[in-house]
Amino acid sequence: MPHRPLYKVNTCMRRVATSVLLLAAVFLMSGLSVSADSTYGSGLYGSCQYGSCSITVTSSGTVNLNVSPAPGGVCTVQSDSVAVLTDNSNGYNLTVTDSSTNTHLINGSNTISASSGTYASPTNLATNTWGYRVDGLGSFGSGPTTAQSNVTPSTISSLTFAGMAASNQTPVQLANTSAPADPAQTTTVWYGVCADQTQPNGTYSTQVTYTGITN
Amino acid sequence: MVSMARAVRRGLAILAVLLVLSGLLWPASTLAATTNVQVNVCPEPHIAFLTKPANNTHTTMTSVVLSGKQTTGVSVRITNNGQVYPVSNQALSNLFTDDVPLQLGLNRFTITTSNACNQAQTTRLAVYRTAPPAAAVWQILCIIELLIILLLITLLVLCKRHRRGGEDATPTTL
Repeated sequence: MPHRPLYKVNTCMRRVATSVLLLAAVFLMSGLSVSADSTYGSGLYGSCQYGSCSITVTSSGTVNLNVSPAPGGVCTVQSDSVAVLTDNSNGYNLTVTDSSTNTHLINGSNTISASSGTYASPTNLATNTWGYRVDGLGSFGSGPTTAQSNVTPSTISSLTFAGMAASNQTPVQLANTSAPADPAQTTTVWYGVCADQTQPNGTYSTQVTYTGITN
Repeated sequence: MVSMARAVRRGLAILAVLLVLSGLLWPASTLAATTNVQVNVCPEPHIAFLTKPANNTHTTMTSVVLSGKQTTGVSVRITNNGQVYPVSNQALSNLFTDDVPLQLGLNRFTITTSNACNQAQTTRLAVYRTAPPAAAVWQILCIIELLIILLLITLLVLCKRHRRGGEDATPTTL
């Protein structure tokens, strides 16, 4: 049997070892890049335990605000519940925007304008406007907000509202957590509208989008 | 052997870098939910009655007239003793007029106006319908009345004759 030089054996083993390690790394990378709900082994994947980085966002689907205008205007306030469920150890971020670039409530050619208030500077609802608020968030104040139907504007004068951000604007952050939300955490979003008798009768609507993203 | 150890260390370093990168590149999960914000602007469910009987009215009539004017978007529903009475004309000019039949006895009317916001306003009326006296009773009463009149006339005639008879029997003076 011919005798091979030792340096050649070392070079060969070195190449083999490097190749094995690289292959192992690539294999591991490919495993990590799949979605969390695919069938992979248990363990910590980034910030997620196996199967934990999925997120569920649920809302009421429809919030109805009925208003029967009277002289001087009347206001109605109702709530939507947004539930977020995730086992992500870094928590989640929940935002909201209007689903379109037009933030008015629309009924054919008639509209109800979004409140002039903003997340940073919410205001009382003016006549024939609508808005949202979250108790304790930003500058909204602690409330507590309760459901109201056809009350005078002075009845809700302690509550401030903001106009919804359009879909092409920066989403408004409703919640940001740093721990898993299991069981689901609920954020209550209040919607208010004020109208007087100049507002034509009919059904006005818009759609808002809540987006939950794991941190 | 030294080179091999170096290669192992290099491989481990690459693996560590890849693991760190994998953590950074881990795709965050995102999910969105939507809610429709819907505002119903409805007129108040008021109704202005033009004609309606006063509450607790007693009548022998077989029907009463109910009429009124409601705002656009407000519907009117009339029930009598729980039975729905079809309201006419309200879709035309927001003016309804109905000659609502009465049942004998107590008629409990409920006039409900409602709007698309599920608001309602209710007016309640009680109307008593009494039956007019039956024809036979009227006839008996008329006969009795006629007999009394005839009796009185007979007595009157008899009295007159008696008085005349008295005058004829006056003695003559000699």
